[in-house]
Amino acid sequence: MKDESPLGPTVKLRGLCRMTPERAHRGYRLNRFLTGMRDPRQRAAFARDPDACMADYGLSPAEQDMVRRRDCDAMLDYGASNVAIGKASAALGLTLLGRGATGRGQSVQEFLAWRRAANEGAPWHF
Amino acid sequence: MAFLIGGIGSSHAPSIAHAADSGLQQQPEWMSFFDAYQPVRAWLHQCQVDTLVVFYNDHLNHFQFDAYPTFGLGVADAMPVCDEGSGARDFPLVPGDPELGWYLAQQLVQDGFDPTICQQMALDHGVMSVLPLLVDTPWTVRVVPIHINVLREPLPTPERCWRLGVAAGRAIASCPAPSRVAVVSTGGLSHQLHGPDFGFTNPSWDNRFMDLLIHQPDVLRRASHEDFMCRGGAESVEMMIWLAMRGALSTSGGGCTKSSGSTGRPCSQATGCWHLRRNSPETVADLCAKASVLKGFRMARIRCPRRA
Repeated sequence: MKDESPLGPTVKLRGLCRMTPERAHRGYRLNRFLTGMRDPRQRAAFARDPDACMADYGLSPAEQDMVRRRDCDAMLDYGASNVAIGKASAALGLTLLGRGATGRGQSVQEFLAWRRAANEGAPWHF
Repeated sequence: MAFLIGGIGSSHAPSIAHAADSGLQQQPEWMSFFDAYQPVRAWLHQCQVDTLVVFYNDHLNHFQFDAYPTFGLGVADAMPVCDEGSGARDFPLVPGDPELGWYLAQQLVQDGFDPTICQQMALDHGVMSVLPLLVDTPWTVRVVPIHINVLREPLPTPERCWRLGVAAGRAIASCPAPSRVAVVSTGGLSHQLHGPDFGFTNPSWDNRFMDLLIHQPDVLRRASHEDFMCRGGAESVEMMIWLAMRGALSTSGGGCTKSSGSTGRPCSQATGCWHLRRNSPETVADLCAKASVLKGFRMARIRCPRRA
């Protein structure tokens, strides 16, 4: 039935995570911390003493644990904005490619090969 | 009177900026993408466009969630480029257009929109991934940025984005400033950047979207956020920003013509740059004749963005 929509067919996407009001409310402190990492002084503070830096931002033990584990899926599900995680990527030592690979339980090379195949051979780079 | 000449739709993926800054324009995987901007640059130059009204979304750079507006309008003499976490890109300040900006502010409020008026605004990749592909530095255009929230729910509806564009188009057409304006929307195309389908793109939806945008925008106006997400990925809901550009063009009373277009997948999301020329009884020759009359003033205004 959806196929008859003038918008065309839908696609089943797994793990789609939206920034709902509930997530936004719960994730507010975590997002403040993540976007705070745009500031070089905060990045330096986090590199020097991650626990103290996270405590300064008022992160709860559970929030701090997600950050320590670099568990982006858990952060997203909890209420982190994907964009906010991007702001902290340098501070957390994450890359977009690495996040994609980790999310699928693959190495970066495996992930890239899979994505290129999924894109029917079209070039695909970060 | 200001004149709305046409519209541009473009992706704003950060990868575009990285590729441009790394000089990858001639690399095989990027060449067709960057080449697609050449006719748009030529068109902007030919029509002597001096002002871009850019609909985009800020990515937690100028605005934070403590006060994240649904709509934000930049009315500033000049705007810096954001540091998004690894240093700001090396560009001169982007000249604003306070005269058109304040006029837009007044007219949008009259028309039922209440954007946050920003007398200071730092521009992130929502504007800056695209601007250097359209014009050179020193900047030859002034920019009036209009931010639309596509990050935190509740999001404005696609219909609301369209109506914002309609209101902006009406305001541009009635503005007493002799600006030659193009409207630009940035964002998309399909991309999903989390979960097991991280990296998903959907070119057939991207192409259908752009066909609908030109010929049947009402279908997209009626679409829900879920309609966008279930075709292009969660983050691709920002494609609805393109409806603002198309809505602005609808105020000419006619349709619009696609003058150039290209889609591709050089990076983590599908990318595209399309340029829509407003249907108008005036030919390009007419427009250029008008432009030559305004040319001296136009140049003076670009050099003097702080005019009263």
